[in-house]
Amino acid sequence: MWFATPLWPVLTLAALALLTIARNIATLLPEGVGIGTLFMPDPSLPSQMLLHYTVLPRIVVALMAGAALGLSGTILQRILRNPLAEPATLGIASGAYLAMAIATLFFPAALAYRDWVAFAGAAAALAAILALSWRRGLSPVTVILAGMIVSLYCGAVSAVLTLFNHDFLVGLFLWGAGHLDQQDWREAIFLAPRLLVVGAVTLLMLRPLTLLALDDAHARSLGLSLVAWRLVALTAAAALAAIVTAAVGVIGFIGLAAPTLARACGVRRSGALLLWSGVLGALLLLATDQLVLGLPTTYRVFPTGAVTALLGAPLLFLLIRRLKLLAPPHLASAAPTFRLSRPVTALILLALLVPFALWVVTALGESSRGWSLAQGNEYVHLLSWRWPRAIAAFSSGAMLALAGAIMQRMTGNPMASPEVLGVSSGAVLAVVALLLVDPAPTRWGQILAGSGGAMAVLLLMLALSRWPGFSGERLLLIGITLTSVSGFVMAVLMTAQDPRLGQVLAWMSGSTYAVRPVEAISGALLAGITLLSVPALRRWLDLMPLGEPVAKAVGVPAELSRGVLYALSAVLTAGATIVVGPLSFAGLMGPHLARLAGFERASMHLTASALCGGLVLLVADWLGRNLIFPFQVPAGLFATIVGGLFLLVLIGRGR
Amino acid sequence: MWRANELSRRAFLAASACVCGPALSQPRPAGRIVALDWVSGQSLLALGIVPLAMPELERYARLVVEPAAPASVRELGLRSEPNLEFVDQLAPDLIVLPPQLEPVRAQIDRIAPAMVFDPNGFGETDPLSHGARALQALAARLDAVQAYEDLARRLEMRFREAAQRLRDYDGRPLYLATIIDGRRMLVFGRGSLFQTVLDRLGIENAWTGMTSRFGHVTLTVDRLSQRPEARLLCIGDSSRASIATLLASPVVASLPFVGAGRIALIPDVLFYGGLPSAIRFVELASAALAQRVG
Repeated sequence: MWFATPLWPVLTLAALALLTIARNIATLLPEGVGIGTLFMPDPSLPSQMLLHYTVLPRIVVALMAGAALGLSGTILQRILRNPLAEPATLGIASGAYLAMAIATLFFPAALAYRDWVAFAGAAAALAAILALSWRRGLSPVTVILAGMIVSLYCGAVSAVLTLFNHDFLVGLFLWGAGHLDQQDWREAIFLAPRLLVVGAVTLLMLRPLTLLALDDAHARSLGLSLVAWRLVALTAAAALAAIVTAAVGVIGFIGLAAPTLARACGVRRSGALLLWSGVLGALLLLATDQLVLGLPTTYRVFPTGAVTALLGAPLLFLLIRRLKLLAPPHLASAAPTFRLSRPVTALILLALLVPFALWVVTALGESSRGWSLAQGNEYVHLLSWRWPRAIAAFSSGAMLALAGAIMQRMTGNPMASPEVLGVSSGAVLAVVALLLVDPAPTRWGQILAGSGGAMAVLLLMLALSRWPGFSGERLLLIGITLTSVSGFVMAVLMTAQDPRLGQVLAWMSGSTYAVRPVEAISGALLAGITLLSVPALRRWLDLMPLGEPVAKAVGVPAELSRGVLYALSAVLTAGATIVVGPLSFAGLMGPHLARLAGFERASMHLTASALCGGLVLLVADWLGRNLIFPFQVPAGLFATIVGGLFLLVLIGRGR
Repeated sequence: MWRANELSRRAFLAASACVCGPALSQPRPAGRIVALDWVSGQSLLALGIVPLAMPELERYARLVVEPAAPASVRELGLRSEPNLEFVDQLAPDLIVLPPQLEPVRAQIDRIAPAMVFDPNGFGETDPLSHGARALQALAARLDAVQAYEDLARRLEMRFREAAQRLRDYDGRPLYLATIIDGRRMLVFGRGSLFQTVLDRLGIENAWTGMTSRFGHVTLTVDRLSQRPEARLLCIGDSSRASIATLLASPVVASLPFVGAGRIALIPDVLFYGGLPSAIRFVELASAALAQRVG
C-alpha cells in the first residue's frame, strides 16, 4: 500500500524545506556574490558573515535536533508501550529548565557553561526517575508515572522561581521557547559528535527494542534481560533529548509527532520506525524553522518550537485516524495490593475532615500583626476575605480530581489527567487572545474568554468523537497537541516582556487570588452536583478499566458511555479552570492518592478522589497564603510541590 | 492628604535629591496611600509622597532604583498579586493601582477609594506626554500639583543639560537595547518612552522596524548589522554580563561599530515608568553618550 512508508509526508516536507532554504538564502545573498561565500565568508562583510554564521548553522542544527528528538520519541513510545510518551515524559526538558533557572538566579557564573548546566539538569531528572522506578524493574507504567511527576515537579519549582523572579529570567524564557537561531557554529559542533555516539548506541538496540515493545512475559521468554535493556534504552533516549535541549533549548512536539506520523503512515518494524521517525523529525523541524526564517520581520520573533506545534497539529490531526494504537498500559497492573477493608467508614471520616479544614484555613493565618487564630468580629471580617478563596480551592480541587479519576478509569491510562483533554488549553489560549486585544481585561472578561475557549474545545472534541476513528487515546493525543500549542503560545508571551506577564503567570499557576464569592459558589455547586451523579456512573466506571471488550460483553454501551464520561470530565475541568486557572495537578494527584489509600471500587474511588483533591488544594492555598506572608504562592503550584513530593515517595516505596 | 501642599516644597527637594543622588531627608507621608505596583509607587515617591506599602521592594531597589523607597514603606508581596488582606489591615485612605489589576477591582473597592494610574497608555505614540498627563491627574487628586510642576520643570532642565552635553554628538543613529542573553536583545523603538526621549534629544533611533504595543521587540543580535554605522546603548545591568557573549558572535564582531567601540552601557531604568523614569533615562543616557563621543 502506498502508505506503508511515509514517502509522501517525507517528500512534501523535504520539498518545502528546500524551497524555503533556497528562498531565504536568495534573499540574504548580496547581489553579484557567488554562492561560495556561504562557506568562505569575508570577515569584513557583515552580509556574508550573516549567511555563514546564522543561516547555515541553523539548517544543520535543525536537522540534527529534529532527527534526535524523533529517535528519542520512538524509543520511548516503544519501550514505555505508550503512544503518548515523548522526551518530555522523562522530565528532560523540565529538568534542564529548572537547572537553567537555578543557575541564572543563583550561580550566574555557571551560565558560561550553559550547555552543561542544562545537560546536568536533564541527567538529574532522569536519574531521579530511574531511581524511583528501580524497585518495580523499570516497568513502563512506573517509569511513566515517575516521569510525569518529576516533570511536573521540576516544572512547578521553575514556575515558583519564575513567578518571583521573572524580571531576571527573560533569557531563560527565550531558551525555553525553542528558538533555533544561531550566531556561530558552536551549537552545531556541540551536537554533532554527541548525537553520533548516542545514535550509534540506538542501532545496537534494534532487536531488543522490538522485544521490549511486547509484554513482559514474551520479552522475558525470548531471553531478554528486561531491566538491563530498559535502562540502556531509556538512557539513550533521554541522552538524545538532553543533548538537543542543552544545545538549543526546549523543542517540544517533534518527539511526539515524528514517531506518531511514522506509525500513522503504516510503519511497523522497529528499525524502519527509528529510521523514518528520525527523517520525519529532522525534516519537520527544518521545514518549520525555514518557514519561520522566511516570515516577514514582524513574525520572525516567533520561536520555531511554537510554530512546530502549530504546523504539526493539523498534520497529526489528518493522520490520526490511521494510527494503530499500541495497547495502553492497564491500571490493573499498577493497582496496589493494599485495599481498605471498610471503605465507607474511611470515606465518612475523610468527609468529616472537610468542614474542620475549612474552619482552620479561614481562622488561622498570618496578618500584618503576625500569626493569629481569629475570633468574633475579627473572624467575621477576615472570613469575608478568606472564604471565597477556601471554597474555590476546595471545589476546584474536587472537580479536577473527579475529572482525573473518571479519565483514568475510562482510558485505563494512569497518565490521563484533566489537562490532556485540551479543555484547559482552550481556556488558556482564549485568555491570552483576550490579552492581545484588550490591554486591561476585567475579571468578567477573563471568565467569559476562559469559558468560551474551554467550551469551544469541548464542542470540537465532542463533534470529533462522533466521527468514526476518533476515540479514546486519539482524542487525548489531540488534547495533548493543544496543550503543547498553548504551552508555546505562553512561551512566546513570556519572551515579549509584556508588563502583564506577572498576572498571567499567577493565573496559570492555579491561583485563588482573584476569585469572587459568586465564582466560589458556582464552583461549589458544580462540584456538588457532579458528586451526586457519581452513583449513576459507577457501573460503567467499574467495568471500563477492564478493557473495552470486557465492558462491551457485559452490556456497557461503548459510544454512549464514553461520550457522557468525556463530556462530564471536560465540564468539570472547564469549571475548575475558570475558577482557579489551568494548573490541574490536583486532577492527577487526587485519584492516585485515593487509589493508594485503598479506595478501589468506582463510587468509593471517585468520591475519595474528589475529597482528596479538594483537601490538597485547600491546604495548598492556605500554606501558599501564609508561609512567606505577605508574598503568596498560588495554590496550584504549592499543591504540585508538596503533593508531588508525597507521590514521589509513595512511588519510590513501590506501592 | 491636606499636608501635601505645605509639604510640597520639602517633598520636591527630597524627590530631586532622590533623582540625582541619595535622599537627603525623608518626606513624611501625605495621607495613607498604598501603591499596588512599581509605576505608581515610583510616581508617588517622585511627588514626595511616601506610600504606606508597595510590592516587591527589594527588586524595586534593584531595577527601578530611584526615587528610593524609604524603610518605612511596607512590603506587599508580588506585583502580580499584592496582598489585599494586608492592604485592608493597613486601612488606607487611597489605593493607587495599575490597569493590570482591574480583575480584582471589586475586592480593592471594598477596602478604600481606588484610582487607576496608567502613565504608559500602551499604543500611544507619545508615552512621555501621556505619562505627564497621568501624573498630573494623580498629583491633582493628591493635592500635590506644585510637586508635579516642579518635577516637570526638573525634566525640562535635564533635557537642557543633556542638549548641552550632547552638542558635539556625531549624529549617528542609536540602537537602544537590553542584551538578554548575548544572542538576543530587547530593542526599544516606536511607542516606547525611550523613543520620545531620543526624539527630544534629536538623536535618530537606529531601529525603525516594528515594535509591540509596549514599544519594544526581541531580536537576534545579528539584526544590528542592518545599520553598521550606528552606535549601541545597552540598558540594564543584565546587559553587562551578556555583552561578552554578544561580542563573541562572529557576525557582531564583524560590525564596524564594534571594532570602533561605539558601545555604551547604563544601569536599569524602568521602561514603563513615565516622567520619573524619563528623568533618570535622560540623565544616564546623555552622560554615557557624551563620555563616548567626547
